[in-house]
Formats: sequence, C-alpha cells, structure tokens
Amino acid sequence: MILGKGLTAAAATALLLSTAACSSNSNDAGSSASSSATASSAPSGTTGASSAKLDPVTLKIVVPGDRPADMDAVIKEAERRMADTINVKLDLVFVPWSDLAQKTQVMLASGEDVDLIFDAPWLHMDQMISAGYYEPLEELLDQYGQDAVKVRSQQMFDANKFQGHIYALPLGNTHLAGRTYLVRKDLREKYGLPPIQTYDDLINFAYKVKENEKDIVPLLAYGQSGQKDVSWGAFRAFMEYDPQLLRSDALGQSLVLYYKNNDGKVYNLFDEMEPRVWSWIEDARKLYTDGLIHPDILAIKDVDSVINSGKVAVAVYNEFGVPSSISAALAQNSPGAELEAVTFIKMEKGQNITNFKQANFQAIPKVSKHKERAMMFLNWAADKDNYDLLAYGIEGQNYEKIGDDQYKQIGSGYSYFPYAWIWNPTTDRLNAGFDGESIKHYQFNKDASNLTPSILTGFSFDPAPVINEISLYNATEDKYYNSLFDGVTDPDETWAKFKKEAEGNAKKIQVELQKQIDAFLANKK
Amino acid sequence: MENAIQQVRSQKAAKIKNDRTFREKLFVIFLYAFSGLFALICFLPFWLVFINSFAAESAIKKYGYQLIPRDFTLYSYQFVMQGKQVASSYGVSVTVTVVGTALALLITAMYAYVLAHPRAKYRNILSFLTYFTMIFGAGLVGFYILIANWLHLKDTLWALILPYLLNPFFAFIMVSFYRTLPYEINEAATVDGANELRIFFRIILPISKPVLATVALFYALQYWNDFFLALMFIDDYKLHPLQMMIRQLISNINISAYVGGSQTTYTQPLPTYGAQLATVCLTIGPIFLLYPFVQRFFVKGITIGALKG
Amino acid sequence: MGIAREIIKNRYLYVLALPGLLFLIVFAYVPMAGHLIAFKQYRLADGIWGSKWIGFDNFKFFFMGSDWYKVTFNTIFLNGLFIVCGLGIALLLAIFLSEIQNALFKKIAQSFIFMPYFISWLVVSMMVFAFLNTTDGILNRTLAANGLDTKNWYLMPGIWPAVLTVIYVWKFAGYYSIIFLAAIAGISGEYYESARIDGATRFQQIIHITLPLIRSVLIVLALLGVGRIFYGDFGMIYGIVGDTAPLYPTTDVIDTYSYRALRQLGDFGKSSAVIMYQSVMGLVTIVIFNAFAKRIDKDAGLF
Repeated sequence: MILGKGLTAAAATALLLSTAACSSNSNDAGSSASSSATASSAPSGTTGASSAKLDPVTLKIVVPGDRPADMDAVIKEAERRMADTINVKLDLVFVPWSDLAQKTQVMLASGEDVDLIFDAPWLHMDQMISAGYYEPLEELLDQYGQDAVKVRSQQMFDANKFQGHIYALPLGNTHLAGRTYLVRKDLREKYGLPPIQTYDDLINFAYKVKENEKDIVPLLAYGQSGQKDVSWGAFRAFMEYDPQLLRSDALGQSLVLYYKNNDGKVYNLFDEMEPRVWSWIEDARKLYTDGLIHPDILAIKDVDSVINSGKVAVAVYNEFGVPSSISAALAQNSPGAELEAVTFIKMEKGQNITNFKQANFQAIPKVSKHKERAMMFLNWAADKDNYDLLAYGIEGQNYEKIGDDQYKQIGSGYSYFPYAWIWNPTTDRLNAGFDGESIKHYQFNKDASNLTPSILTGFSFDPAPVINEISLYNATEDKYYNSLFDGVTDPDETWAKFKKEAEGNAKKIQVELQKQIDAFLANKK
Repeated sequence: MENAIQQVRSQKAAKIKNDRTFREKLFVIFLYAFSGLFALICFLPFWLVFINSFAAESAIKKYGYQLIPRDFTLYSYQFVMQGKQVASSYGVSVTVTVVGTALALLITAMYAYVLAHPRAKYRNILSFLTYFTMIFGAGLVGFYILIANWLHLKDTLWALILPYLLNPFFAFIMVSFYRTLPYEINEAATVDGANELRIFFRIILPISKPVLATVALFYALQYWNDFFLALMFIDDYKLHPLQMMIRQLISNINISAYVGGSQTTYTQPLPTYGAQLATVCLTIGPIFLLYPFVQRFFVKGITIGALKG
Repeated sequence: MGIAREIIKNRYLYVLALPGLLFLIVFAYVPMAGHLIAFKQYRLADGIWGSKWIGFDNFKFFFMGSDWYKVTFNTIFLNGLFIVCGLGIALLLAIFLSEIQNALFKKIAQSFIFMPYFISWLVVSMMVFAFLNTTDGILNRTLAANGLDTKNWYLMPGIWPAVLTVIYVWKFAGYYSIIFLAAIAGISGEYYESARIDGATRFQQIIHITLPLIRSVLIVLALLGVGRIFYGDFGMIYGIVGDTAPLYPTTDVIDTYSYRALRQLGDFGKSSAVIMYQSVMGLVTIVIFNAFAKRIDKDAGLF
C-alpha cells in the first residue's frame, strides 16, 4: 500500500489535484500508486481504474551501468502492474559508465527522442540546463508527481533547483554523504589497540602497522586528479568541526574556494591560507615522508583493488559502513583480514551543515513526446512496493525483505542501481549486511531535520561568465592539488607554484561566485 | 685467366648463397636473435594475460601476474559470459565483421586502384580529398545526426558496417602497393583488347594477394574490435556486438562499488582483474585464427612470380 | 569540357572509384559541417546552423593559459618518437623475418609480434603498473634483490617519453610489420636470384634491393603518421598515465589536456575548437611534408 508517513497528505493532495485536472480517481487497494490524472485527452469517466486506462506508451529511459541479468523479468512485472493505470512500457537503455558523458551528450545534442535521462552535476548537468535541453518540472510535478515529491524531503527539492527551477528529479537516499576510514580490524586487534575514536588514534595505529608489518602499507587515499575530495588531507574536511569547512559551488571538490561558518562568504585559500587546511597538508607531508602513505598514491587508478587485496591497513571511503563487495573480496584474498568502518562524523542533530545537494538526477528532455507519462512513471516508482520491485528485483528471487527498511540480496541476478533513476530516502532499504553503527548513521541522515541547512541551500552557480577561467583553473589545479594533499611533494614549493599559476583565475571565479551568491541571498530575504 | 676469375667468383657466390662464409652466418644468427628476442618480449605479456585469465582473482591480487598460477579456475570466463547475450553478441560481431570486411575490401581495392592509376588525370585531387578526411575527421555531433537522424540507421546492423567501408589509411596502403606493379601489365592487356574493368578484376586483383590479405585482416580487426559505433548507435541490447557487451560489463564493475552499489552483495568477489584478462582472450580468439590464413600470402615473389607462368 | 571528357575517356576507372567516392561524400564530408560548432555557441534548439556565431571565443580557454605550447610540444615530440621508432623497428622486423629461411620460426615469430596489438590499453596499463610500481613492482624488486636503489618511477617524468615509446613500439611494430611484409612479398624473386649469382651478401641484398623497392611504402606510412602528429593517442596515454599529475610535464598531450579542462563542462564548442586546432596544424604539416616527400621520390607522395 502507499507509504505510511505521508499517506494522508499525499493521498489528499493527489486526490485534490487529480480531481482538479479531471474527474477520475483510482485509489485502488492494489499496489500501484495513485497517479491517475489522464494526459491530454478529454476527461474520462469517473468510475474505476479500468475506465482511466490510457494508451500504451513506451518510455525510453537512459541510465548508466550494466543491464542486470533479470532485467527483463523485472520489466515485465512492472509493466504488468502498470497496465491498468498508467500503461507504460519500459525501454531501458544502459550506457557504460565510462562512456556516459559522451553518449548522453550526443544523444541530447542531436535531439534524439528520449523520455527520461540520467544526469548529474559531476557529469554535465549545469551545461545541459544552460543549453536548454531539459524541461522544467514544477508543473509536471504538481500535476502528476506528488508522490515523487513526498518521498523526497522538501529540503531536497528546494536545494536542488537550478536558476530557480527544478530541472531534474533529485535522486538520493540520504541527506548527508557517508565518509569513513576503512580500518583493518584484525590488525588493530593484533596490536591490542582499542577501537579508534579520534584521528590521532588512527595515526597511532598506522605507525604501529608501519613498524611491524613489512608488506602492508598503512595509509591509502586517492590520488588521481579526478578525485580531489578523497585525497588524504582534503578528506579530513568532512570529519572536522568548529568550523566546518565546505567546498564551494564553483570548483567541484576543490577546497581552494570554500565556505565557513555558514555566513555566505566565499573564502579563498590563495588570499589567506586557512591554518587548519595547512595543518592537514603538512600532516599529509609528514605521513608521506615517514612512509605511511602509499608511495604510488598518485598513480593508483583502482584503489578498491588495492584495498581488497589486503595490502593496506587504512583506506578512505565515501560511504558509511564497509561495502560488501570489498569485504567479500578481502575475505577471499587475505583470509583472516577484516575491515571495520570508522567515522568521525558526528551523529548529533544540527551538527552537520549541508546544502542538500544531490549527486544524481533524472531529467526529462524537452524533446520528449511523453513528458506527462514520464512523470507519472516516476511517481509510480515512488510507491514502496513498486520501488522495491525496480530497486531490488522480484521478491523471493532476487531479494528478501527484512523488516520495513532493510533487505538482503539473493544471488546476483539483479544488481542494485536505484541511484540511476528512482532513489529516494523514504522507500529505500538498507542492506542488512551493514554493521549496526553504520545503519544508525544512515537512518539518522535520512531525516532531513537532523541536519542544519546551509544558508546557500537552493543556490546553483551559473558558470557561463567565467567558463574559460574555470577550464584553465581546472587544468592547472589538476597538476598540484593531489600532490599537495597527499603529501607527495614539498608543500611550500608546491603551494608557491600552484598559487602563481592559478590565483589569477581563482580570484576571478571567486568574485563571480560571490556576486551570484549575494544576489541569491538578497533575493531570499 | 678469365675462367679462373669466374671460378673464384662463382665459388664465392656459392658460398654466400649457401651462407657458408663466416660473415653470412653471423648475419643470419643476428637475424634470428633479433627477431626471436622481440617475439619473446611480445609473447611474454600475452602469455601472462592468457594464463592469468585462468587464475583466481585472489591469486592475482596477492601475487600479481604469475608465470604459472597456482590455482586454475574458469570463474573469470564464467563471469564475463554470464549474460544470455553472449551468443547473440558473438553472432552480431561475426556477421558485421564478415560482411563489413568483404564490402570494405572491395570498395577500397577499387578506389585505391584509381588513385594509383597513371591515366586517371584527377587522381592527385582525389588523393588529397581522401587524405583530407583523415585530418578533418567527421565531428561527433555531425556524424551522429547524419547516421541517426538523416539515414535512420539507429539500431540496425548497417550502422555498424557502413561507416567504416573506406578507411583512408588502408586505401593509401593499397595505393602504394599498386604503384609497385609495372604498368606494362596494363599495357599488354589493353593491347589484347581488355577494358579497365576487366584488367582490374582479371589481372590486377589476382596478383595483389599480399596487400588484399593485409587490408582484409586490418578491416576485420577494425570491425571486430569496434565498440564506438555500437555505443553510439545501438540502444537495443540484443544487437550489441561482443566488444560493447564486454565494455559495459567491465565499466560497471569498476564503478559500481564506488558509486552506490556498496549495498550490493556479491556471493563471489568481483573478478575485476580476471575479467579484464578474460576479455582480452575472448576477443582475440577468432581474429587470431584468421591470421595463419593471411600469413600464407607473405611469401616472397608470390605476385610477379605467379605472372610468369 | 575537360572534366567530362576525362571522365568519359576513363569511364571504367571512375566507375571503380564511384562507391568509394560516394562513401567519402556521405560519411566524411557531410558530417564535416559539424566542425563549425567550433565557432559557435551550440544550442540544440538552434541546431548547427542557427546557433550563435562567436568567432574564436571557444579557442580562448585553450590559448589563454600557459600550458598550450607545452602540451603541443609533448604531442609532437611523443608522436615523432612513435613514428620513427615504430616504423623503424617494424621495417627491421619485416626485413629480418623475410630473410629467415626456417618456415616454422617465421610463422611463430610473426604471430607473436602481432599479439600485443590485441591487448587493450587497460590491461597494458595494469601490467605497466605491476612492473613499475614502487612497493612491489617487478623492476624495483629486481633492483632490490641485486642491492641497487629502488626508485619511485611514477614520480619521474623524465623517463616517461622513453617508457611510452617502448610501449608503443611493443604494441604496434608487429602490426606495421605486416604491411612491410606484404610489400616485400611483392618483390620479384628474380632480383634476389641474380644478386646472389653476382655474389652479393644478404646484407647487400637488403640495402640494394629490398629497401629501395619498399621505400615508397615507408614514405607513405611516414606521411600518414606525420599528418596526425598533432593528435595524441588519447586511449594510450590516458590509459597508461591517467590522471597521475607528476607525469604531466612530459606526457600531457593536447587531447588529455583538453579532456581534463573540459571534463565537467560538456562543452561541444570548446572540444570542437581544440580538434579544429589539431586539424589545421595537421593539414599545414602534411602539405609541407608531402611536397618534401615528392622531391625524394616522385611517386611516393600522398597527393
């Protein structure tokens, strides 16, 4: 049945709107959601679902990833469920991750008939919106997508607008991204150290490992220039408070322009180096020269493989909990090895500032001929049972339910990929395999009210005025950032070089960003 | 006196011919050594790829690439071939390769012949125009719009075949080969009353076997290895060729854990390394069977020699 | 009407060329209009023709910075190394293999040298890493076992042009040698016979018969390479070097640089601008070199 929490509100609103649009209502007892407003055709009769049956429409949906083996079965079941109501046939096109940017770009640029498409800020979403490819969704959401709205917090919607409009449905299962250190529990216990509570404990452990284990590198982070948030020094920003430093909206994951104290100002490390940040850099340098950080950290492309081969003692990771793919692989590759997740993120109400920005979105291209139906589908997918089907597969065959909010996967016929098209924090289930602490973190962060909204929630940066500066800055920053924060090169020298080459562009970007932020804040009042 | 000199000469020549002088022997040894060494250096990594595709993922992670792995397993192969699509992917790849190579070879051979023919007055202009396309390649967006929107080739096998029918690089290889053929052949045939078409198909083609074999091999490789056309133009997964199917698989493995698939449970660890190695072996197989056939044509003097008969 | 007469006179020839020509027009020339995007601010709604013309604006991001001539230099330098060493070794291999009498050795060697071509760059990069990495790379382990200093190879940009060239030769020499082998196969055996009778050594035969007769092939291949000298091999370099920043000074080429600069922007106009730069420079280069080649051997030019 329809989800518990927002039932009254959702049903009431849906009813209200649908009766406003036309007269039919289909609050049937079955599992399908309530969206029943017909599209452009004349208002249909008032009786039941059957008379509201629409013409079959095939939606072409572009998602990243690999087609799971049981996809056809799941699609068949979904279409069966939708047959009597929104009557949608699903044409799911999977695009390999490595080619996602290019293929979606070309599809959109050529005006191909696509109904739903995946996009993300880290992909090319801002650009596509500026170029006018996507349809603003407010009206469609109002008319057909109220369930889809309800399962995502209001904060999520407010925060993920671009230039004042909602251009894509935000997809996320939490309001705060998880950050952990994956620690080798077996090694910690071997040296009799208590569970790690602070960063210093962590480093202590690392030194112990260095002394005693010849073949294991103590610390590992990411060093390739596409992954700036997870370099060793920069990663610490996620877990340190008073003040909490947040990355700016203009430079992706770079800390060079940042926010502090939630005061709406853009700070620039080139103008004034934040002592805290410098301490991270120097700390990373010491760890590197002492041989604790992996010597090839800048060259390793596949960090996960190094982790699960058992060759490191501590690694950074962007999730709460230990990913089961890594723990399974590690158990095989290195019998006896075990990982535990250690995070210093506080689980107290209001401690974490976030701008609620999500990292994945589904958009409806302007050229789509079935926009209403696409929105109806997204709405349909917000219903708990339908979500379970599309996210986890066929019950009993691909997964089993554990309680109301967890699940356990069976076999590998259907892999988990709701982040590509239907994710939302309300109906998403947690993997029962996670440890208790992590589950608590997840549950805590599903509730938007536990987080302090950033003053810039809802702000989106339009890069167009400084686009040349941004491209040049990115190219320059790639040369130095990770070497700096992973401690590979001498900080003073590197920073001097970096500053000289990049501060001009950084300044221009900062000025533009501040300008847009000021305008945004002024409007908000 | 003359006889003596001649005798010495022919003796020396005989020695050289039979490689009996010391210098000749040394030279030959050098030939074998160089080629052998290079061949070994080429073979070794391939051996590592081949043999480790049968190794367990944990072994690869722990011990790196071993010359002779300890455990044998077929799991990497099973993983890559798990989809029901494998058969259809192979089918698509084979069809596209065979049809594509045949058509492309014909078109290219004909075209290159004209570019090399002394009597074609505009051949230099044509050559330039052909070469120009190598430098100013089709822009991605324009190319896509042409094939998808104007020619309506999306989700058809022709989208995988047509765009590669004339590869200027291969065309120029054939041109340079044709230029080595003596024009007397043409003249003799014309005297006998043959027109250009006859000359081309009856005389030139049969003696062009080495270059035809080479270019056929290259085209076959191009079609077999391509995934770009499939990526752009085939959305129907049932029509995906082998390379596309594999690319999706591998690309997804590498990303899934990082992005959000941390919630996915796997019964066996993902064979990331193993799958990549198995992929190389699966895709190399059929083409490699083709190569020995092609090698038959690389015998000295196979062309002009044949004529003399 | 010169053209019409020519076509009628040699009509069979032009019939032969027709399918190829048709192909070029449809699949190569028509889409070329897409290059105009380099000068426009492309918006789907306006299409290629309707989008706003912005002249050289799209080129600014590339040339405004200080890196563009370094990456241009790297591109030309690396490609130059690749062409010279790649073709050179391929030629040697082809000659040697065709001189070798033992049929079995020949076949096996030919097959082996071809194999690297099939190994994807991803796997190659994994192997390079396994060889060169600091902690347990094969090279460092061997050095350590012999009491020598180990080094962090991935932090030493100076060696990488050599490393990349070695990898390039390893991967492609076999492929190119096939072309030379086919060319050598086309040389009449009679030349060699008469040379032997006259007492020429193998070495002399190679210098005086084989090389001159396949010279045009070599020149054509070299020219083809030169025309693309401004296009870095993205698959290779990004596959092997990836985003390893310390190596950028010697391995960053135009293609990888623009990829990184535009990575998050998805701007077709700018990527088209970079390609336009590479194309125009390539055209200028090839015209010069082609003229030069024609001086050496009238028949060897591409056009």
